[in-house]
Amino acid sequence: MRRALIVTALTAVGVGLLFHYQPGGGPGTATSVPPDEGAARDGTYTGTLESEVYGRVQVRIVVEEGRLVDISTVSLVGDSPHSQELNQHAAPILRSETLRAQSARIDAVTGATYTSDAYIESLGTALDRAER
Amino acid sequence: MRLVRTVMGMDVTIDVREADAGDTALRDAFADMAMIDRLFSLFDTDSAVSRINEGRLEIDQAGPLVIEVARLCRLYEAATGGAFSAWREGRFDPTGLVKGWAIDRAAAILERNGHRNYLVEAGGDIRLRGSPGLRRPWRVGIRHPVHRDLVVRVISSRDLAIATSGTYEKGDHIEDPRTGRVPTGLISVTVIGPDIMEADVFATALFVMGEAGLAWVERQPGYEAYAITDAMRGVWTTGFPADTGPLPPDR
Repeated sequence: MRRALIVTALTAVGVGLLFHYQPGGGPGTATSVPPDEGAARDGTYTGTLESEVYGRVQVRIVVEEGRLVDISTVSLVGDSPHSQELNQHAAPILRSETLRAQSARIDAVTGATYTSDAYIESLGTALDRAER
Repeated sequence: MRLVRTVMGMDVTIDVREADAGDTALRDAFADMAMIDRLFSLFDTDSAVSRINEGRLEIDQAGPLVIEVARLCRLYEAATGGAFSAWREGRFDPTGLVKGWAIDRAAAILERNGHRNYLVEAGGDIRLRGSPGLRRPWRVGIRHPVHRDLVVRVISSRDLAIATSGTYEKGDHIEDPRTGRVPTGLISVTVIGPDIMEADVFATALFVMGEAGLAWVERQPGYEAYAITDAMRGVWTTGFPADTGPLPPDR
């Protein structure tokens, strides 16, 4: 059941960071949010650190005015030893350096997406904590 | 004119921008891909590849297209030191090469019909030429591997092949054909160059090789690569073009 909610949240992020999150069984939490906007409390919530084949992943979400406004990856760490012999160009992928696909005015997209079970699991616990 | 069809088990987009373009070339290109799927599908039990794997057909007897693809698979297995291979445990699976090969054939059909401004995309692999309009080049974003609504780079070009490889694409894994293990180190790989079939094969090979494979791509004339590591670092070859950034709003 929670997985279905997560899919809803991911979809919502895709269409503009709306948070249509239904309380899943537990008592609804009273907030300043209009009742039909969901029951998540404002704040920053970090999911559990999950292990998987590529390393470890932990997801953090930010809720403002009852809406999910950001999902970020706190750590996505590989256990594999990296080759030290190379001096290729390298830079961390900072969120501030990325572009919203809509504002970049692009004609097509390429590149793999990373939607592992560990990522979904960590995101799920962060959502649970926002709901509590 | 832009048409999207589900062919070869994936969404394929063909986008042509000539003002007076009919849809003949697009329909021919999609029909060619459907024909290729009937030969190479792993899911259709009657495809040539399925019959080869069931021992009902020899590659040498499977017709010129299958023979040509098998020849290319052997060639690129040798060229990548085995990081790309169409044979696993005795089974023939040329899927990793056929997608790029099919895009190349589609582009050739568009060219024969006079198109010079087009983009063909299948499962994140792209062959583009010319301009989408307003004399600007085509712009292709490399998706953020985790945040789907973000792009980490924008590639701008008038003549380019772009191929991608990575983890969890369509939910399945890429294995290292030499060890049978799932590669670690890179979660997203993009290879650009003149030929979509080679770019596609090189992207698979680089994903299997890991970060050290960037040095291998450096040695392939005309090809460059951008990859994202599992520590969320962007790494790229020396000749990979700088990001072109957002387009000014008035263009």
